[in-house]
Amino acid sequence: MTIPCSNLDDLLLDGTPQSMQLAAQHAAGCPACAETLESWNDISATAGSMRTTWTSDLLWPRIERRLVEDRRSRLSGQARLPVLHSVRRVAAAMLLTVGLGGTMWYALREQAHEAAFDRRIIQSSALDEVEKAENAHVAAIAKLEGLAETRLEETETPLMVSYKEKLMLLDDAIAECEAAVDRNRQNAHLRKQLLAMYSDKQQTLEDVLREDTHVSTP
Amino acid sequence: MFRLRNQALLALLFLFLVPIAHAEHNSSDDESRYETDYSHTTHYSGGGVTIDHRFGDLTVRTHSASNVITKAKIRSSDPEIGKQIRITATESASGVIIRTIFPQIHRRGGSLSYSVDMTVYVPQNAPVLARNQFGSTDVRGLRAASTIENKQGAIRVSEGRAAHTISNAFGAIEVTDNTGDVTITNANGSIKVRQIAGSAMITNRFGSVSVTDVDRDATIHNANGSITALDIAGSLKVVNAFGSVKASTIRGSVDVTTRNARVELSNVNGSAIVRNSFGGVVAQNISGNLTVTAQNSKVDGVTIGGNAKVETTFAGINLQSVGGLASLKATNGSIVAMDIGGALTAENQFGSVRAERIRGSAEVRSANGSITLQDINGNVKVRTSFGLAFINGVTGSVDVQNENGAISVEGLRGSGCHPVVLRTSFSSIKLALPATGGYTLNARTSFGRVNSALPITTTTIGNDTLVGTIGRGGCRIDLTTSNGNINIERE
Repeated sequence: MTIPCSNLDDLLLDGTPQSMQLAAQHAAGCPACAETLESWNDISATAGSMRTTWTSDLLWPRIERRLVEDRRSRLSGQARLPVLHSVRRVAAAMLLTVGLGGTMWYALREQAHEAAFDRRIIQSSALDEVEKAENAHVAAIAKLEGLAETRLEETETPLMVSYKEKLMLLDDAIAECEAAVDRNRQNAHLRKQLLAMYSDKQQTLEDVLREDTHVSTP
Repeated sequence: MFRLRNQALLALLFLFLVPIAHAEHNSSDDESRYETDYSHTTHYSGGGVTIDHRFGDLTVRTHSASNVITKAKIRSSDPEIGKQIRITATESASGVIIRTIFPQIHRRGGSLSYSVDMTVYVPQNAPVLARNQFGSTDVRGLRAASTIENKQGAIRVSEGRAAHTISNAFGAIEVTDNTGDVTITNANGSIKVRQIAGSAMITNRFGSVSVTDVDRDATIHNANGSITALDIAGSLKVVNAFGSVKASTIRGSVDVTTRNARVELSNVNGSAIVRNSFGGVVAQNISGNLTVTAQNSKVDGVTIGGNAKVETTFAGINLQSVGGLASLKATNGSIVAMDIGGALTAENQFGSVRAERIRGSAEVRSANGSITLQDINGNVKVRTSFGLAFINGVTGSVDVQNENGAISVEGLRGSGCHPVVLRTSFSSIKLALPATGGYTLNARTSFGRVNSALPITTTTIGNDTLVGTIGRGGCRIDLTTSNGNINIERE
């Protein structure tokens, strides 16, 4: 069997009789490798001559005791530690879940309560918006009333009479609602109702202005 | 390791505390949130349950117990005001009375606010009188005649098993699934009624009305709001103005009085009467008679099982497929009548008349409009002034008097002898006759000629008169004009 020089180190490190035989065969035809093999054999011979032995009565019992302890601890660790770890993990996860869930539920319930409250009693910031919208309607109504006044007074068609009646009903209802709002300013239903009636009145006045004056008479 | 564990615990604590702190912060940052619950049980030993409520929603439910349970949530922006709001539930000989009492508030224009949402559980068979204002009212499952009133808030009534009276103003009303009659009044709010095993009497103003699936009669009075009625097992009576009326699938009769709005009727098993002005009328699939009295309204009728009597002004009439007689009058409007099962009477001015496939006689009075009659299975009588009278296909006699319009008659195919009398003044007359017929002819024109494609045996010829016979003679033909030709053609 032919081996390359680069494998000589591997054969020497392997150290088995077969490896050493192969290395010797190769070194026989390779002066460089023969030198390396010679050095290796010298080192091995020197190391062998340096070997020594002594006896101790205490060392082995200590080693044996330590081995027994290690085995015991390993056995008990295998039996208990993983169980303990998994129980703790599950408990921790459950605690975390319950805790977070409870906290979230509490927070959501509070928010729902607040939202329900806000649906009945509107807060100041929203009230500003509502009043802004109401004021816009009131301004538009005032302007439209000025324009529609003549038409409503002069025209006596059934439709105009009907519009007049509707406007009167709206005015009464608006007055009633405004009086209630005066003492219950942030009541959401009242504000919505008032806004709807303002809108209805504005629409009615716009209809009056849009209406032709030649509508039927019965 | 120790540090890592501590950090994890702190993070967990943070996760717990942040939402709580957030919630606490929200509830405490604004001290103007007062909210409390009220609950009270009152023994019920008969009589009615009266509820007088305001400024909040009212919910009424039934239960099988013999007591009245009142639950409420009181909310206020001012704890002092909130604590002063009281709810009383008292028992008396006449029943249970529940009231929401609000404190007198003398401060005006401030930010005081309050609201009370109330739920009342009443015995199933207790009659209820529920009044509310400035809040919606929701009632379900009442089994005794009850009255529900509201103002400026919606009303919803469902699953009732008795007659109910419901009234509202400036709020919608919705009534669903009631066994028993319902009487509903509203103003400035819509009304929606469905599934009523009983009659429905509805009054509204300035709001729409929608009625569906009523087992008995429905009566609807409205003004300035549309009306829709579908699937009414009894008769339907509607009075409206300035709002459209739409009714379909009515098993009884329909009576509609309205103005300035369109009326649409379809699938009516009984008769239909419509009075309208300034709005179109459309009637389809009316099994009984159709009577329309309208002004300035176009009238369309399709598939009328009985007789049709239609009068309108300044708009036309279009009728198709009428089982019985048709009497039509359209002043200043055209008339179209097709497939009439009985006799046709049509009268108009300033509009044309067109009638086809009339299985009875046809009588038309018109002026200033052309008249076209085709396939008339009976006699024809026409009186007109300034329009062409064109008649084609008649089985009976023909009598046409025109003044300033031409007359054209053809398709005389009746068996037996039927006289033909055609008169006009300032126009021509054209008559087509079958060659096999026998006629006694009297033709007269002052400034025109008499032309005949059929041989005439003359007995008298004057300057303006031709008298004779066609064929064997017999049937009377009078043709008279003053300033026009008379043409007799062979068919």
